[in-house]
Amino acid sequence: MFKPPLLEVESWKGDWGLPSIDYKCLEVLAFARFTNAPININHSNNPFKSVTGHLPVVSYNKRLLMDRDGLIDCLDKLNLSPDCGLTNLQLAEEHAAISMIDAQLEPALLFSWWMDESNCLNFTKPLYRNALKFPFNWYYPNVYEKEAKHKIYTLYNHLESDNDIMTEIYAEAIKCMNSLEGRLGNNFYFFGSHPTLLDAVAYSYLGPLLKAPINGNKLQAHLKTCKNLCIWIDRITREYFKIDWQAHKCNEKKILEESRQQMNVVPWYKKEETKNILIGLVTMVTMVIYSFKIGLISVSDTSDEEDED
Amino acid sequence: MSKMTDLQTSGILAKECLRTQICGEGEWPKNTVLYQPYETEQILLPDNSKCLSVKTFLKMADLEFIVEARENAEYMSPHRGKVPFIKAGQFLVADFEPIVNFAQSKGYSLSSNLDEHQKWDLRVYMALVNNVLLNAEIYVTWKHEPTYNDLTKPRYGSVYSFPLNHWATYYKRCEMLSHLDVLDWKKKSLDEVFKEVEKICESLSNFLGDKKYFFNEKPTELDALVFGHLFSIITTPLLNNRFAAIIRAYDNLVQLCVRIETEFYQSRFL
Repeated sequence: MFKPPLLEVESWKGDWGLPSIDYKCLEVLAFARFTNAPININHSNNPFKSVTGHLPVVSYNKRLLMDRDGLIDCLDKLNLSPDCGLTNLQLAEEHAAISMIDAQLEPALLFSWWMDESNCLNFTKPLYRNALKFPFNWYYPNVYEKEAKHKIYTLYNHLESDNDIMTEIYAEAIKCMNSLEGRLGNNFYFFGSHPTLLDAVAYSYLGPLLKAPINGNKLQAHLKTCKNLCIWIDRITREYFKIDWQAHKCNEKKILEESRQQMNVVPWYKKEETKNILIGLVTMVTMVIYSFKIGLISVSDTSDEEDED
Repeated sequence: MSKMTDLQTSGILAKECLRTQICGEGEWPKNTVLYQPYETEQILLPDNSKCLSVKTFLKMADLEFIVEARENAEYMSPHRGKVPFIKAGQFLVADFEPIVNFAQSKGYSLSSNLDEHQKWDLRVYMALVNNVLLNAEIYVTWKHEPTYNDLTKPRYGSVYSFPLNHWATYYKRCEMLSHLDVLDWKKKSLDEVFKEVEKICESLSNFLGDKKYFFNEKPTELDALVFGHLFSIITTPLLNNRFAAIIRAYDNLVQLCVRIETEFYQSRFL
C-alpha cells in the first residue's frame, strides 16, 4: 500500500499543558495541527544532530526544511494552507501582524527566560538540563543562554544598561499584547472561526509566556489580565493538542488530590495547633514550677490552721 | 483607560509616563533642530529613509523644525547610532517612533481620530515596514559585496581622515552584519531579500488599494514612514535598479509617493 510521506519533526518535550516547551517547536506543531498535515512528532530532546544546534528539525521526504518560509512552501505544495479563504487584505494584515509579533514578543520571551537572573538560574536552565541527556545537559543550556544574550545585546546595542533594555522590551511587548487582545476581542480566532498562521505564531510566543511557572514576571502578570488572550490560548490547547491538555489536567487533578489526601491523613497529634498548645502548656508548667521554687508563689498552711482553731 | 492604569501599576511604562509628564502638554518647542548626516556625500540608504520619514512626519503634523547636517550625527545621537534625532527644547529624541510619541505627548498626532481597528492596522503595518523594509535596506547597503565596496565604503568613510575611515567603516559593518545575523537575514541570498521586499510591497499595495492615503483622506504616521522608505529606495542610485524596479511595479504605491511629494515637498519651491 502506498503511504504518503510524513512531516518528520524532532522537538522538545511538552510541559504545563503545552505540547512543547520551546517556542519554535510550538510554532511548527501548531502549524501542522491547524493544517491537519500528516506529521510524525518525535520528542527526541536532542539537538545534537541538528545543524544549527537547535530544535525543531523539520524534514519532509528526507529534505530538511530550515525555517518558517520553507515549511509554508512545503505545506502549500501539499495543498495544506491554513490561510486559504482569507482575502488579499486579510493576508496583508496577517503578514504585517506576524512581523510585529516576531519583532516584539521574541525579545520579550528571550529576556524573561534567559536574562532575568533568577528565572534563568531557577527555571530555564534546569528546564533544559532536565530535558537533555547526560553529556549534553552541561553544554546546551549555556549555549542557549549565550545566544539569547547575544541576540538581545545586538538588537538593543543603542541602550546602555540591562535595566533600560528591560524597560524598552517589556513596554513594547505589553503594547503588543494589548493590541492583540483588542484585535482578538471575542472572536474564536484572529480571523474568525478557523486558526491561521497568525494564531500559530502568536500562540507559540504567548503560550509559554503564560504557562511557564516563572516567578515575579511582569509580562506574565500582565498577560493574565488579558482575559481574551488567556481564553484563546486555552481554546487552542484544548482543541488542537487534546492529549497534552488532558495529560496536564490529569496531572493537575492528581497533584490536587494528593495534596488533599495528605491534608486528610494528617493525624491530630501532628497538626500545627496541637503542637502549639502542647508547647504553650509545657512552658506554663515550667514557669509555675520555677516561680514556686524561687518563692514567688507560696502556699501557706496558715488559713487551714486558723480554721481549725 | 483601565488598561492604562494597569500599565502604570505594573510599573513598566512608568518611565515613559514620567517623560510624558515632564514634557507636559504645551507648545511645540521653538527652534527645534533635526540632526542628520550630510545628504549628498555621506548618508546611506537606511539612514536616509529614516530621516526622510521623520521629516515627512513633522511636515504632515505641521511642526516647525530646521535641518542641520553633521558629519558625526550618529555619535551625537542620544541612542548611539540612531539617526535622525531632534533637539526640542531640552529634549533629545532619536528615531521615528520615539519622535512620534514625543509629538503625541505635546498633543500633535496624526492618528488620534482613528478607531481601535484602524489603530491596530497602523501599528502592525508600521512594524512591518520597520522590520522588513529597513532590514532589506541594511542588507543591500552592508551585506551585498559590490554595493558595499563601490558605494557604502567611500560614502561612509568620506567624512573621516585616513586611518579612521577604514576602521570606522569596518567597525560599523561588523555591527550591521551581526544585527542581520541575529535576525536570520545574513544567510539569505539577494534574491530571497528581494522576494521579501516584493511580499511587503504586495501587502502594502493591497492595504492601500485605491485610497488616497492609507487611512482614507488624511495622511498618518504610516504614510510618512512608507513614503520615507519607498521614496529613498526609488531615488537612491544603487548599482542596479532591481530594488527600485520592484517598487515601481506597484502602481498605487508609486502614486502615493508622488502625491505626498507634491503635497509636502514641492510647495516649498513655488
